[in-house]
Amino acid sequence: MDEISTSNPNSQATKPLDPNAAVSTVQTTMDKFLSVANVEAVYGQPIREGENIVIPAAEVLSFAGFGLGAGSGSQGAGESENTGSGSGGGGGGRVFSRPVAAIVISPKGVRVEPIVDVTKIVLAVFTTLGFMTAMFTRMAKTKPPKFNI
Amino acid sequence: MQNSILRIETLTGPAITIQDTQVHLRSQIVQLRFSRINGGVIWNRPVAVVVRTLEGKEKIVPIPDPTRYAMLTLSGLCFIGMLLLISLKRKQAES
Repeated sequence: MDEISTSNPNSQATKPLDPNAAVSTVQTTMDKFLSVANVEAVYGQPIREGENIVIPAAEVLSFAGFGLGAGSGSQGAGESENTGSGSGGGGGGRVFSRPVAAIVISPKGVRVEPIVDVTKIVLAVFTTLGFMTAMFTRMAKTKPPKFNI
Repeated sequence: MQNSILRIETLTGPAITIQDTQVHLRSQIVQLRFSRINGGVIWNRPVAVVVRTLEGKEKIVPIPDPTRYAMLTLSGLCFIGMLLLISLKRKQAES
């Protein structure tokens, strides 16, 4: 087991670090991140409703990233001078999911019912209009350059 | 395959059997891996439903995404509008 001290060489506090725990955490995070890359992540469990079976389908977008670092240093020239070392790591991620369609399997056949996210579209329309208006206003305010020929 | 930066793959799930019909669910993944920063992006979306009957007939039912189409159309309109405004402004400056 390694000993890890803080970056301040004068500090007496030391904290034991279990490298296996850090590796395990990173491994778990990566496993969760990679689990998005399969069919089961997109399609839900089939729901039976009478003679029909409904399968929900969603789009999944996942981001993840992490980093680890370590360093050490010494202060002074003698053998009894302060030395220190440290290591750390961090990471993060996010999973976005949006319903796309519902697949209805009935005795008559299979049909796909798309799910329209009206709120998202309306927000996008307003954002587009706002951007266009702002750009038009800004361009109308700026004076055209004069060309001296 | 696992070490490649970009991976685009269509995956097919296990068969769901209902009476005399087999249904396979298909999804497409786009995976970006950044080895230097230890991370990546995975985009997974449903693509189609493959329906197979006992007679051997196969039918592929695509899964449309109207929300994405609308978003892409709006982005395109925004870009075209921006280009039009820039060209109008340039014409004004020239005249």
